[in-house]
Amino acid sequence: MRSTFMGLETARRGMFTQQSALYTTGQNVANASTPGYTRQRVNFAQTEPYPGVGMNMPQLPGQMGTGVKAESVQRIRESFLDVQYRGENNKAGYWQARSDALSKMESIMNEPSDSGLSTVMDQFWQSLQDLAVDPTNAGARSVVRQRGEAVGDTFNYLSNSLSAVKRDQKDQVDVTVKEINSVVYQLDQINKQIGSVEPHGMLPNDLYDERDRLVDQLSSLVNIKVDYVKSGGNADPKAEGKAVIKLVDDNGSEQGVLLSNAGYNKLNVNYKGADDSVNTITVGAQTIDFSKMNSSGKLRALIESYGYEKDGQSTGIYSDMLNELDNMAYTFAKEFNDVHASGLSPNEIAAGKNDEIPFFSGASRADVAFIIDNTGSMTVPINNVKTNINNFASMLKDQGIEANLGLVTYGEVGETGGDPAKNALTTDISQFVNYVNSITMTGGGDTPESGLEAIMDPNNGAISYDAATGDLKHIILVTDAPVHDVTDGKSTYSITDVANALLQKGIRLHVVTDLSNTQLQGLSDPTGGLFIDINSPDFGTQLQKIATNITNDIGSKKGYASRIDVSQAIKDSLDNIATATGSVPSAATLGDSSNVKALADVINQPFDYGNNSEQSDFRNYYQNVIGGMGVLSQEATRLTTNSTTLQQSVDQKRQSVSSVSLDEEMTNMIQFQQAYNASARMITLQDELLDKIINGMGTGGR
Amino acid sequence: MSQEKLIATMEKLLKLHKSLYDLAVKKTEIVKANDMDALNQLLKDEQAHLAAIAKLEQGRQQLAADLVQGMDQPTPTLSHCLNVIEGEDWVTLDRLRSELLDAIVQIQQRNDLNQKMVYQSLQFVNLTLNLVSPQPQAEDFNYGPPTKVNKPGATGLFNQKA
Repeated sequence: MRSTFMGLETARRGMFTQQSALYTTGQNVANASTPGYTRQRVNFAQTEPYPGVGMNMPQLPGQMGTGVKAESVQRIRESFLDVQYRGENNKAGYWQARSDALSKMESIMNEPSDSGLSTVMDQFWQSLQDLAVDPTNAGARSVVRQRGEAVGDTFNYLSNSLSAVKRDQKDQVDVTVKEINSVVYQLDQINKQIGSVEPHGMLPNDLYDERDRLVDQLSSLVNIKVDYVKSGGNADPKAEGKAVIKLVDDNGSEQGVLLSNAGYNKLNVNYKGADDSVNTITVGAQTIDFSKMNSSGKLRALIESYGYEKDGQSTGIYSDMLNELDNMAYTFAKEFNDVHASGLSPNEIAAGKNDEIPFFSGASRADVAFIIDNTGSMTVPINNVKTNINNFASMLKDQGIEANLGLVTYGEVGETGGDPAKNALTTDISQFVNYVNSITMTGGGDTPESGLEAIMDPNNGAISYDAATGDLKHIILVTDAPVHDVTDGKSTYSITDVANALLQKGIRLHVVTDLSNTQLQGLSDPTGGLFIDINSPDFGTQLQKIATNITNDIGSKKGYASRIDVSQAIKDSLDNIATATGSVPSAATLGDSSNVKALADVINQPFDYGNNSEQSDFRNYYQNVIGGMGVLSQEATRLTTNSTTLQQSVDQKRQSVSSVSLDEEMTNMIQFQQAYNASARMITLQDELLDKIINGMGTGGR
Repeated sequence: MSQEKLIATMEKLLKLHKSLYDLAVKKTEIVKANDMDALNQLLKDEQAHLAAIAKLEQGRQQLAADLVQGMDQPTPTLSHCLNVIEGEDWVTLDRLRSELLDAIVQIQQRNDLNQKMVYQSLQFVNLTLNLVSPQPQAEDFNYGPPTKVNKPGATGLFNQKA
């Protein structure tokens, strides 16, 4: 038996469903300008027909439909366009960050211009030419000094500005990492919320929209791949599920999991590479080596400009440019100093000796470690050190270098008082004299002693003194006997190994010993130190030679561009500028300008500026460096424009699919409204039928 | 003198390249807007340009060969011509050469962008096609003995016979 009110119920269902469709249309129209909103539509489905099959089913014709229901509300979104968009967004993020970094560097280097390095070097060269015309002209000398200071200032400024921007990049990396972690955390929260709605059979469309917006944001920072995992329960087959986000490289292979069903992993950048550069990135428990990670995105661009470790060296846009500046400044200063030191200045001619004055200096402090043999025969040399140390320190101070002195005593390892004993570095000369006074002599005589241990012992050897980069590092070994080495079995070190270790640390070792003790020359020669006679009657003069060597040392190449400055001697007196050549001071004349010409030539001579066995002169090398930077910057700008255009084009396609078109919504409104009206009309009809049955039947002829 | 003719040819070449670059810029906008008719029209314009450039290029090579008759170079280039000419003409020719190089680099970069955009659109089109077209049956790739069973065949999303 069909029910009485079946038609009424069917029409009622029609009205309700059309109403829900109108509600959804209203929702679309209201959200027409919400960013990230995807239009929704209602899926209509028929309700179960009557009667169902079974043994006791009523014998009615066919199965009659019973109306309509709103089965689900679904988003209209094209997931392939999402994938395309995220790819383009990722590339755009990378090139954008990279071109920003490069354009900042370009504006600092400021070439070609009136204030760039090449103009300053040209002016310096010009001033040398002017001095060559009349070497006695004090005005020309003053100009040379001024221009020299300008060269130093320019290098300092470039190096410091680049370092400051490099530190900025590091801050930006940290900010980006925080952003990534924050977005992944938000995604995790949304995943959980979606996971609690979907098992009920409903589709959380607004949560999906929010999740897509966050994934878009994440894709510009790192390269990711998104997969979806079904939430169980009574989930609708159209439900998207929870997102699993993996960090991938540019070939698509997976490198780490950022977000999964179980939770999220934090991303961290580790600065443990050479020179504080980035070496690895950890995602949760997984560590990825940055130089092998090919995943593009804003994070990678920022790390590349800051500096990362590759093959044990720190490389990166800013690191490389700072290295180039150091290379140029160091090589130029060293060659210039060599030519200048070999020349004679008016002061040197008047004094009658060549003081080997450097033009450029490189450091303000020198760590000088004295290693003194404390065996019985050394009483006289130790006294000599004590009496002459003040003179030594003041010689260094005159050149603007503060002496930081240290003392290591040694004898025969194993004998009492024979192990290396180290005293702390101090700038107080009287404290150093106290150290020397407190040396207790042990036995030993003239047999070999454990000198190499005194250098190399990791706790008590001179090599363990902690020197800041940029300070000059020197060791003065005072002994009258040879040292044990691997050949006589009483030491674990060999002379060549020790020399290499010293070279690697940039330490110069000077030897004060008996001139017949040629074994120790194997330590002083490779490191650039002096070999001095311990038995010389005028110990003070010998120490002075070492002091001169120290003041001519401009220190290590690393960071030299930020330290380069005109030396104290030149700043004190213009007459210290070496204009004349010749090895005999008494035969030199004040009007001889040949050294100035040689100095002016330094800028034109080919040297190995890049430390890669290729020779070029200063201008060519600098042109190469600037040209390389310009090419990188131009490419980055071009690719930024390209990838932004592509990203916008995909976004337009995406919007054409998912955004609200008011015309379409209006048309749909008409459709749903008329369907609503038609259902309402059906209800009126059913009402009339029922009215006829109830009030008009069975009263025969009334 | 063939020098003036060479300079005139270079000027025309430069103008054509510049308008080719404008066409490339327009193409980017058209591809963004997905406008097929305009794209077809543009392609015809481009063909006309390319034909004109090819002809001018031939003429230029001929003129260059005339200028450097002395040396036996199989393909005389502008650099060789620059060695032979001097004075004002040299300055003009040098300027034209660098401007032409710039224009060519610009066209190249713009074409790179256009290519990437068309590739992107093609990805989408291919995806859609793969969704609606039937998958080829693995058994149909080779000949084989005729089987009695009538395979229904994959019909994709549409019933094409209807």
